[in-house]
Amino acid sequence: MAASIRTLFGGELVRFCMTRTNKIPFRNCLHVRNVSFLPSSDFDISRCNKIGRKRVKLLPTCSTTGRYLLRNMSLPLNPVARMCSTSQRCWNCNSERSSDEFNKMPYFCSICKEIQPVEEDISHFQRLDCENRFDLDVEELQKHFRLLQSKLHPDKFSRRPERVQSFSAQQSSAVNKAYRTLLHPLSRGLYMLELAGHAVEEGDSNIEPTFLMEIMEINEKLSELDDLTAVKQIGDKNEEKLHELMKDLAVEFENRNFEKAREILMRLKYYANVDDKVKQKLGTSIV
Amino acid sequence: MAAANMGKLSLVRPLLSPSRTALASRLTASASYHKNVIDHYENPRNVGSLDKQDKNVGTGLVGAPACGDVMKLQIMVDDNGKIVDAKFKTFGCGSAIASSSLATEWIKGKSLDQASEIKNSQIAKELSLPPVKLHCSMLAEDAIKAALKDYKIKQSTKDADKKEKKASTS
Repeated sequence: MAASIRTLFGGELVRFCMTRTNKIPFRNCLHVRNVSFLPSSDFDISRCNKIGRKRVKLLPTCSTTGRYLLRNMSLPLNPVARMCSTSQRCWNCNSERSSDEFNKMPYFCSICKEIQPVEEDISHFQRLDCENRFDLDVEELQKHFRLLQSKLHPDKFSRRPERVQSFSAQQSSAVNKAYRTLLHPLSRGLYMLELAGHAVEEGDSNIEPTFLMEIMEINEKLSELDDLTAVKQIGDKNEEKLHELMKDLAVEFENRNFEKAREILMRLKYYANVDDKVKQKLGTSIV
Repeated sequence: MAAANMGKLSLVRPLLSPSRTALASRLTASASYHKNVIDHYENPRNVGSLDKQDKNVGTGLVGAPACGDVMKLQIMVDDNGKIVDAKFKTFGCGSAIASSSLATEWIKGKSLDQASEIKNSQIAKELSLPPVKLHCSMLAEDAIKAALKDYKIKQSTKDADKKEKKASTS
């Protein structure tokens, strides 16, 4: 619960106490009657108001302590929050879609079974019904992806009205995008940082000189080498490093240590580039 | 489970910086890069290395983690404080290569102070870099600054050594 609330507010929560909880009305959600918490100094209230479609009601309870109160809301247990909204209606039959139904079937209306417009607010993990973790089960991810595409692909809707076709195209491409992002460890890691508010920015230049030196040397060696076995040696060593870093990364993400994860990901990007060059070299020289 | 899932290394693909060969074909295929970038990319000036151990050589090594780019820029300074030679090596995208190539061209023959005044905006303007590539010119500016700093540190330790020697001989 603590982790869930922390995720919701970008990890800036310092303390919280829950006064009462209800039974779980929604899948992956906890209904909360009352939570008061003391945010850290850099807590940004405007960010809380933007989560999901439902506005979060935050009431400053005490001006001296700066404590906030959170009332009557459903907190997703699944990290990367989406507020469970009850206000959505099916565009086709106009029946109301409760959060419960929505969670069970986000892509189709449970009454008329019609495809729905794409839901922008959900994370890639939610879209593919996967756990938000770095070492996610790739096979399961692929399974979910194929299953979804078998239902959402525009080919299935070729004889349907234009509007339905466009919903299918949107849904399908959103699922594609989510899958592409989550499939590769590097992009998955970068995306997870983005979700946590610790994205790697273009202007970032905070990187150890000794590490840069190492990368420079590997690159120099690689660009001079024509001997395939030597190139392969470098590639193998590089792969080992990639493996190591990814293991570390999974641990840091698990511990929600995003700063450290960010640092590792920056290195990972460099090694991934080397890996790419090695593969290119091996590939082109064989042909 | 974790290890098994992460075992597919072919899954690791660079996101931002395109590979050199792919870029080369794209450079000729599309007009999205300015001709100045293409010129520096195809005929980079001053590629190479200077002796890092030389007291008159300053080395700047910088990186852009978002792209996985790494840039090395070296200056050779004569006794009058003039940059007589400059070399670079950059592993990164076309814009990063062009930016560092241009930077070496500009700082050659300049004094240390003049070189430190070169701004990334000037490099970006000369190469007509698009906004998403501005950080490449920033990287080049950082590289110049780092090389100058390295040179100055080397010189101050050299002076300190001399003084020490003088003190010990006298």
